[in-house]
Amino acid sequence: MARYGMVIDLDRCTGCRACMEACKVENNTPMATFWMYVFRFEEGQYPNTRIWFMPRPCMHCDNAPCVKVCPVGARYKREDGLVATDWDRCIGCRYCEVACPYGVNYFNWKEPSKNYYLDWGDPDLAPVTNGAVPPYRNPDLDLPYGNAPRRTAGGGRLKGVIEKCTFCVHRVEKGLQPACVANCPLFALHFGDLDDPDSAVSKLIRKKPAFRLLEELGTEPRVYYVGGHPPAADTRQIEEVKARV
Amino acid sequence: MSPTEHERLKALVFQPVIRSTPVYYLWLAFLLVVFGAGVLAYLNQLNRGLVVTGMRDAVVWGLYISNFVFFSGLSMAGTFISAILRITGAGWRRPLTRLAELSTVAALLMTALMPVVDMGRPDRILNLVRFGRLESPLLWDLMVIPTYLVASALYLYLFLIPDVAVLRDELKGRVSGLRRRLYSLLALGWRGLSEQRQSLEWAGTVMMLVVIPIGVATHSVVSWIFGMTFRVGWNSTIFAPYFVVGALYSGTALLITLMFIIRRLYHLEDYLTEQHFRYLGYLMAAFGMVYFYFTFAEYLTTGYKLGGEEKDLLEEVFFGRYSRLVWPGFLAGQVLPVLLAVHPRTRTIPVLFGASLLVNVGMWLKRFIIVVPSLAAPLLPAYGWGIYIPTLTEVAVTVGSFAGFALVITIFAKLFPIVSLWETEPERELMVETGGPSLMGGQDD
Repeated sequence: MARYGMVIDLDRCTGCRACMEACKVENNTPMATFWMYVFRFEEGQYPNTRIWFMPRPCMHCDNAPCVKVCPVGARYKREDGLVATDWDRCIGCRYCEVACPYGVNYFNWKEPSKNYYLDWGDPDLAPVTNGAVPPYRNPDLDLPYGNAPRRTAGGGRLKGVIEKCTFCVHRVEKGLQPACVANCPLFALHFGDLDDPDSAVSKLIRKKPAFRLLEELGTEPRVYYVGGHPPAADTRQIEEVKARV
Repeated sequence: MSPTEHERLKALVFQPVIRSTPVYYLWLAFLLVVFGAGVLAYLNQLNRGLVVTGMRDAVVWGLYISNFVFFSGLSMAGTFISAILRITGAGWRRPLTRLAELSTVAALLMTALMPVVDMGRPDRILNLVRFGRLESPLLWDLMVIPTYLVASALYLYLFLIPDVAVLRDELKGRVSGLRRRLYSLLALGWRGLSEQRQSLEWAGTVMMLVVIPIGVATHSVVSWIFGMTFRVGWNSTIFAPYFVVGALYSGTALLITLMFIIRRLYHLEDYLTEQHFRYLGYLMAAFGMVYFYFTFAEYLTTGYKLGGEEKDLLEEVFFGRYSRLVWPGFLAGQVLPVLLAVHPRTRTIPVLFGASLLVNVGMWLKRFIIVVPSLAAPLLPAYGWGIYIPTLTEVAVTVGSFAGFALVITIFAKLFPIVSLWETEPERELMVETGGPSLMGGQDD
């Protein structure tokens, strides 16, 4: 069994946010929901300042705080290391969201039929969207994956449940890369089997000094960053856009 | 106790059960309207989703969870008066026991309601039973709060039996047949025999021993919902005892409030004397000081080091956007009531009543300050501060829950005597003999 993980090369990231866009298109997440988010950071004092970018997917922790506190097991850990959400079981208590130190959970505060980035009602768009009825949903998201009789892929669509990054399990199961990885124009994102010493991710971790976010908490994240440093107290976001409202 | 004395007390205590004044119906209607407004607000929230609240993905819990913690704290009132004061043999608690235990049940009903109101999918509530995982602190609450509720309701009922028997015997023909049948059913054939009294005493002792640990467990478990996470400000080892003491403080204050109201409404000036108020005031002050000590210890250990995110949180709480809530809540809720309760010139009945109200306003603010700023604080240095402004829906549901709390007590007071007749009588005798109650005096049974 593979142990999937992600390696993010901060040296390569230019903050173009193609990964965010790819994620939204693939997983059909509504407005203000970012399963993948790219922070645009600034550090230092003028004139010695530096700008850098940090993509933030779900960390798919091995010792996931969200899995621990979920009262109904809607948030669970798969054998291959993916942390998935059964949105048919979730009761909407948002305890996972409170427990997660990375802020990757998003709650469906309302029926997510509106506020997609595409204005579906616009008549000019009708030829492009082929008359699809919003909310459009990638059919792959609703298929069963793995042995467990639980929801694995997707999120959204249901009012009052939690959702977050799935590492695009519906693509991984088909042997594809997650949408964010596949669409990164600069190969900053890498995905693969951390147990396989010859995989691209394992090689990259060996080649460059790596860190994981908030490693000191003992959450054992599955996402490694190389070629940079964790955000520190003097790291500022350069824009008003917020990953969480 | 002389027969006339007995009749006088009985008349005082049973009067409200038999006859209703227009004021009662006005009050009932008022509560129903307020509660109904809360229900309507909730129905709207069910229909449109939690988007109608001020909660968003940064501050994911708000007023509802603050209320949850607050009501669980209030529920300490009954456990304290009926179990803890009983175990220490304080006889003066007797006129209060019924009301205290009733307010525990009412508070626990609201405690149980609040997380349901907060849920995104209340229709899936049975998943907690079907798929419940013991690893989650929420499940600990799910186990302990209903246990507490059942135990408290049982405790309330046990000591109600002799009085229900009186109702059954005396109200023949004066109330509807349905109510009479209810009374004779609930009286369980009570005739005041000595073996019946013995088994009641025995059952009471057992329940007392059961209820105290459950009460402590409840407040601990409520605190651990927060304490088991990585959030700044919640990552504390003293949260469980901190919450227990907070509940004692809040519960004692509620008792003084209720005692004042009942004394006025039922004209029990002879039975609930200034002495009662003063003693409860001392206890409230003592708990207030312990709570203050905990608060001080908690903030000093984080504030002294003033590192990283803790520094940001404390600055925001004490000098930033929450300071307008923190300082008034702290001074008016923790310092002022303690001073009022101990100073010889201010520990009078009306002042103590005011102080008890202040305590619970302060404690509510304190709950809010525990819940919200820790959630608003940025997670990684990357995130900004979250913003939380409660909406009208949340306010309506909150006010409605307080009306619900009062509603339970009001309706109960119409069906059953709210002052325990059979328990109050021997206390009155003792007071006549000894010239007044003693704080922990051992003349209980």
